[in-house]
Amino acid sequence: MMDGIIWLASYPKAGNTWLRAFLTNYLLNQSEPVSINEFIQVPLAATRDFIDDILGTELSDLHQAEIDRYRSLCYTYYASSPQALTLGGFRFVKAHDAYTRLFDGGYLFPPEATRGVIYIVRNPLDLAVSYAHHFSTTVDQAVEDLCKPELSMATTSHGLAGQLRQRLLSWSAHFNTWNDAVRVSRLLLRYEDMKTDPTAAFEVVVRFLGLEVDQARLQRAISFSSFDVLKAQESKQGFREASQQKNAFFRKGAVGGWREHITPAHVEQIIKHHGEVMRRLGYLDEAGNLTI
Amino acid sequence: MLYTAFGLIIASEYEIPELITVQKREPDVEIRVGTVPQLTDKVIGRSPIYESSVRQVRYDIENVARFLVDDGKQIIIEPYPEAASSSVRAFLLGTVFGAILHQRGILPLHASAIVTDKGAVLFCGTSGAGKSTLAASFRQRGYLMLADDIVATIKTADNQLMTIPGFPHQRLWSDSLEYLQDANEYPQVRPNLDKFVVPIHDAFVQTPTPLRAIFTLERANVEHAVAEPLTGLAKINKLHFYTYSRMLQKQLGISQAQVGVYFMIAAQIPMWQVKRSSYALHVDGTADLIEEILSR
Repeated sequence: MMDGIIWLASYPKAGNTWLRAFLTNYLLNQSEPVSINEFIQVPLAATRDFIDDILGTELSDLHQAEIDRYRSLCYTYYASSPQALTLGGFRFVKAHDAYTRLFDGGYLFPPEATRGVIYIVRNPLDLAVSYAHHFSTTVDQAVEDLCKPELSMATTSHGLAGQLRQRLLSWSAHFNTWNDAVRVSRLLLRYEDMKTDPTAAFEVVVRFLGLEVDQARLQRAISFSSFDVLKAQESKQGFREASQQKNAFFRKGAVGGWREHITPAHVEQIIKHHGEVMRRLGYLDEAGNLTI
Repeated sequence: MLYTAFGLIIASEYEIPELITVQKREPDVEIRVGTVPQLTDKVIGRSPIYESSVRQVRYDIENVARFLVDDGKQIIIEPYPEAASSSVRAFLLGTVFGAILHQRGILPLHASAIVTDKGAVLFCGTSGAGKSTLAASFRQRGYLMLADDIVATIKTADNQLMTIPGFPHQRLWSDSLEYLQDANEYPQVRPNLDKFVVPIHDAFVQTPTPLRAIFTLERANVEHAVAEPLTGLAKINKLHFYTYSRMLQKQLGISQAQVGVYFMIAAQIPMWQVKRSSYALHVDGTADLIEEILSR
């Protein structure tokens, strides 16, 4: 088992759970699909119980800045702890936070605790629609949120919240913070490419882990983690990570589906705030036209 | 000063106004203020805030205090210069006492405990599950309480499971107090924390009480609270899961007495798994359900 965490990082609703499903199925290599409620070898970075357990005290008695600092220390600890959860010998942690700094200048996700980052990005127009559905809000509000420079999720780290506060920042700032992270080995995946050619996309993931690609195993893991399988599992057994409003977590997973929900004003607002990163990621072409 | 909590007599140089005072008795635990040394024994367990050996745990809570918890008998507190005493006590009457109980071989559960006419009833849950708010709601219904957050249960010499009185206060967030329509002024748990120390002396039972039932409390995607009985090994798994500071317990090794309590609870005490709506603070429906189960 090698030390260091591999972060599965993304904005919410960008395909992180799909990647987690693929990795679990590929690395466990079982003859049946792994249940969506059994992706337990990939903990979520901001789950309060996960941090409480490593730390050995209750976060509910700490201030927000202390919580962030202790989260960071917990990741450093977890990166080499013999008690860490592992999957195929890797220590994965899923994260939605942006790659931010703490008040003391350190990083929330310390480079010294990091073995690598797999970053998934998704077209902000499709993401906004999925986000609106997940958080039971309007597309208007979702578009507004994705443009907020200081968007946070689970803002009450107290009371009855199961997740700690996560600073997401805006959609493009989230990408930029992870992309600018120095001394961190990174793999960038586009959701749209995973959709169009899963074999090619997931082959890259397996190679990024330093493993040889086993084609039969790859194809089986891809089919075991396909959208239809995940969605069928959710409707049968529920998904414990679904939103509190009980909307289905796995909805459509479509590429380009935004056209049914998004107005020209939304498009304008998204491009105004995120045009530069969208161009860089190929969501806008040279002429400034949408590609998806 | 001499205090009592968890059936222990505590002689403390550090003032702890939350605790009940007692007359002169032989202390079980001594609390001193002084310099906290490094551990001299072999370190067998650690986290970002503590190191532990077989006999000692040394906590370092940045900007609050260092604590040495020694052999279940002594606590040395070294506050950071700027630390508010409320902050020091927040960790003392929590994490640090959890360690004392483990060192003494007593089983602490992450739970709240109320007293019914048939005995003690425990609500186990992780932080934020709603156990304190639920216990407070029972308190408003006229029930008395034995402990909040850390609940200790022991097996007596005559083979009885007894839940022993913990701290005579609850720590409640302002949104819980609002939900409970409790508009009284309470001291903050720590400066700039929206969580308050609510004394429960008037509703506090000071004698060990036979354990009657345990409910585990989880947030889930359900509209109304639902309960399912737990049986067999699932009971042991749940009890282990809800053990307070279970990483420390794992590192120290589970004591024989703790194993005894786990198995005796599993064999004798009814346990239910309660799933409640994760969305709201509303614990009244959960309280109704639990009252109904207890009346069967």
